[in-house]
Amino acid sequence: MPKSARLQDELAERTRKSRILMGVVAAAFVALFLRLFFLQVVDADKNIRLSRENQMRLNIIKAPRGLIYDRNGVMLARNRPSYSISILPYKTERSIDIFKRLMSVRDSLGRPVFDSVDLSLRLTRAKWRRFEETRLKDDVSMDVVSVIEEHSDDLPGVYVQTESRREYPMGSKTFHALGYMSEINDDQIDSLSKFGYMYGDQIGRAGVEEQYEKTLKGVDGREYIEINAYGRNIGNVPNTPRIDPKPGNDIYLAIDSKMQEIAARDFGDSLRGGLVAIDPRNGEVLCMYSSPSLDPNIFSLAPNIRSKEWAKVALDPRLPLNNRVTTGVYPPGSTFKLVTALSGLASGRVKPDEHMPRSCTGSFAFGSRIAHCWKKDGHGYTNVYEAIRSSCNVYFYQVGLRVGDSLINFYADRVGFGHQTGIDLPSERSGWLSGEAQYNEKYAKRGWTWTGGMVLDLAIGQAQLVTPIQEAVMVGGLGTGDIVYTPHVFKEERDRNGTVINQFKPVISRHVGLNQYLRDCLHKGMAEVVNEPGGTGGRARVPFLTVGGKTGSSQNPFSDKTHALFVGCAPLDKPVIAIACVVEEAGHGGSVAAPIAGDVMRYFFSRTPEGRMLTESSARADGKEQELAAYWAQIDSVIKAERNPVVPDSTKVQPTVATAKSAPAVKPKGSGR
Amino acid sequence: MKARHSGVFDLSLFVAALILWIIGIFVVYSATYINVTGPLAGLYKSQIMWVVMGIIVVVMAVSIPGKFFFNSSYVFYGLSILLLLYATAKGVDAKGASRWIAIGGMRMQPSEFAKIGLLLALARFLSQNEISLVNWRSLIFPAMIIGVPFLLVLKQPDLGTAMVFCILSIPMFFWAGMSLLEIFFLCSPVMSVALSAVPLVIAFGAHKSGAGFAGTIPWGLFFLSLTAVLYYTKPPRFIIVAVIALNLVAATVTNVIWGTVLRDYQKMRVISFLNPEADAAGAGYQVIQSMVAIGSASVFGKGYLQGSQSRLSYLPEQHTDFIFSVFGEQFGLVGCTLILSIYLFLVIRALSTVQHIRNRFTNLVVIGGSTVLAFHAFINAAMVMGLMPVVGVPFPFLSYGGSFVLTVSILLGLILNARTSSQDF
Repeated sequence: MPKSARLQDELAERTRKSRILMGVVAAAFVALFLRLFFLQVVDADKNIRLSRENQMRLNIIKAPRGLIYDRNGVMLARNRPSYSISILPYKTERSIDIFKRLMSVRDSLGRPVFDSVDLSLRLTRAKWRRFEETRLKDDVSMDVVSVIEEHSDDLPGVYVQTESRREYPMGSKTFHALGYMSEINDDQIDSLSKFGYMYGDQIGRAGVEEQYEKTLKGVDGREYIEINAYGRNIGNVPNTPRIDPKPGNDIYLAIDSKMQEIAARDFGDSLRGGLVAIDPRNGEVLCMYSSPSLDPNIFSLAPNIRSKEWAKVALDPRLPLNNRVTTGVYPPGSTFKLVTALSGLASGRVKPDEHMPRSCTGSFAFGSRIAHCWKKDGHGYTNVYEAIRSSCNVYFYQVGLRVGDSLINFYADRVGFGHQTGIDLPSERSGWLSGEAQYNEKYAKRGWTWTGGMVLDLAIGQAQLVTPIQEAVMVGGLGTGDIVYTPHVFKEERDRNGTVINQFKPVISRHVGLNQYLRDCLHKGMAEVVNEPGGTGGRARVPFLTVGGKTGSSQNPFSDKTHALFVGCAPLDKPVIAIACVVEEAGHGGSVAAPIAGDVMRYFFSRTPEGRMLTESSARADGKEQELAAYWAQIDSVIKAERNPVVPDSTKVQPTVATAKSAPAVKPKGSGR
Repeated sequence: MKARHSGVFDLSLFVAALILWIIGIFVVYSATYINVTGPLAGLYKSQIMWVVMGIIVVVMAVSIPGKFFFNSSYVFYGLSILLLLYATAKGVDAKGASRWIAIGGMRMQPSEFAKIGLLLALARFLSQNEISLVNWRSLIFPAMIIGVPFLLVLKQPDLGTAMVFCILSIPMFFWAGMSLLEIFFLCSPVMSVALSAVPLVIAFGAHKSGAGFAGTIPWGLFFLSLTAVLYYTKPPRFIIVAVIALNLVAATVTNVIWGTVLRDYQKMRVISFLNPEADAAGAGYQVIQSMVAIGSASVFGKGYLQGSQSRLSYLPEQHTDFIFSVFGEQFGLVGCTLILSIYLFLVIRALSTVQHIRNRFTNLVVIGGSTVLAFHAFINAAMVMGLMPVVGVPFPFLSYGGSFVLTVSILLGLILNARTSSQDF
């Protein structure tokens, strides 16, 4: 090869140039060494800390929420596991058509689990968040879960996740007493975050779920888990404290689920109103039903269904979310006449056997005003018993005029009207008592003033507003004639092992303080309402026992039909149950409200141990053992039919319901008023 | 003297390379063993295969007479350009870049082999021609040799390899007769672009419309010192004119393009490229995690297979571009120093070869090959340690990758060949 074609370098030149290049390389590497020293020695602590933070994440272990039982241990609220299917897209290889594979997943009936439009939308979304879990399907059934888990090799990146959801076995029958669960909202999070709540947490709303949130919630546990860059849990971090969650305590309610069922059945889908039964000896709420109700299980459904159902419920003009027992206010109507009578007798301005000076001719003229009695033909001259029994307006107009509004209100206050009863449920309303002072205050802005004739409306219960729970407290107070206890749904709190942590102690809220004379007078009237021919509340009778009560049919501005009311307690001499039933715009109390209250009471006195005992002793005292035996036989056959329901055939559609309806042996003979 | 250094296989150089390759297999295993399924599972096995093939390639390259490479250098170059063209036209798409071509069942990266082709072609040209800025016509052909593969890989886009092409040629130019001053003049327009762009980027990051007067200071100082150098060294007039003109144009064009052509989202890309911490969860995420991995190792490291950052997949591309941080997390300052020292020994040893060889082509190949090896390692280590923006450059001997292992072994073979081959051909 000719020398001109290629150049040769001299040794000195080569050495010089190679040394320069070596120097450059060495300098560059020295820079690397310095950087290493900086990162691994100078900044080591910071980097170690950052690396720890990377791998550790505080994981909140949700405490299982306490369960809710009724007084007999029937489960009213529980937690169920809910399975959802998620995808972690980075785990799925691109080559796999995950859409096709998921679409081929079928449930036990052979239907595809996924909706193709929905699934493709979700998968498209998931592609943009490759390292985040995206939910593909909510709340799938157990057999779908097993299919997914079996084929996990064919479905890389597809996971089944478990979470806890609240479930209410009784559904709509216990909705208002229990409340429901929903996600914590932005307004609450600020004040609640210091109690360990976080975004996305469920919190109790309304009812027992809200009232006893703290008891039911428990304390969430916490642990440090090792997390990789994709947020996947690798396991616990060694040597870090793990605080186990403290499960919420269970709550036993005073409520009897079976009575709830009866109330729900009687109200059905068409009647609106509320029914509440309390034990006047301690304030326990045995039954609390508000209609229309709704199934709280919709709140734990998949989000899209949930919002649809929620919209339906929230926009319903019948306001199914309202617990009418504590937040519904109604004019008490004729049920208030018990208070008017009490005020007359207690003040001594009315004597029990005394007839009012003016006879009932169907109407009553006061000044220029003609006030009517419900019975157009009139009741004639009546004493207090007859007036209570037949609910004569004209008699009570005169009592009202004699006693005056302030004295009536004094006694109304004494039996609990005009105040919150203090029941352990959120947002109770206090109602309103009319009267000169109250009226002028309330309507001062409109310029209306109290006139003397208004005491007529007040005396027959058309001027006040009361809640059903107040009505029950009132009738219970008149029944015992003594102490009125604060009503409560909570009975006891137990931990997971069943140890009783906390028991409700009856709280005295007021003394009615009736003397024997007043009790006798009122009880006589109340007993006649239910048990005497011509009494308006005959359909609330209970076999072998004396029920005392009062019907009411209160006019209201919303409808031509009156609200139907019934209040009652039994057995009248020593009441163990006080009941109030309001049916909105349904007609007369005796024909609509009294039968419902009667059904509940008849259940109580024939099917609960305490009620049965009372019935038995009462029947024995009256010497009616034989009839009692026949009655028990009938009841037992009903129970048997309920336990082994006859398979319905085409001729008899619902035999179990039919027999249950005919359960009360004694058909009320009353006219239905 | 000559007898001791030429015609002898440099065993210590080869052993250093072998040690690095073996360490590399273990590091690849530690970076991927967590993957039981998927494309990364059992990757170390294929790395073992590639290393064995690499050793065979080294032995082959050493046994081939040096003259063969001289004669066939342009053929190599032409072939590698054809492969690059094919990849650009029909390449397999990987992460938005068409870098791969499939031959049979194998995938290969033509840009890797283009490094060899360019090296040989440039060495051949420079071994036969003196180059100088003064004789600017002598630069046209080498500029074309570099320009064609440069533009092709830039189009892929593979910025890392494009940079390798440029950097590779500078020491070769130096060796071929350019003075350091000439190289400074040659590189000055690039520095002008960089210095005028940095204040603009900073101003955009701070939500200001322009860089203001203060933004012109870095470039202004650079330009002043450039003119001072020109004044004192007194190069031919056309060089003065050309250097000043090119620098002014470079700075102006940078400002114009930034102000009018680039949209905001494009500017954002530039920013996260230059300053990873500006977007810690996004583009800067990788570098920060990598720095945390290396730094948290402290002096002695977390131990083999104990690296939490890599085990928990915080490091991206941990078996290729970020292999050094996987290694660093496990073996700490001691391990990193050891690896870099072995590497530095290897490069210095390779560079020292040229002192004993008169053959200019062989020397240029050794210089270029050592530069490629040193530059890869430096850029990669600097990148994972947060000294440089992230460009896709693997770490020689440690990183996983068939094409890359083969490229490295060819380079090593060429360097070792320089000593064993006869000097004159």
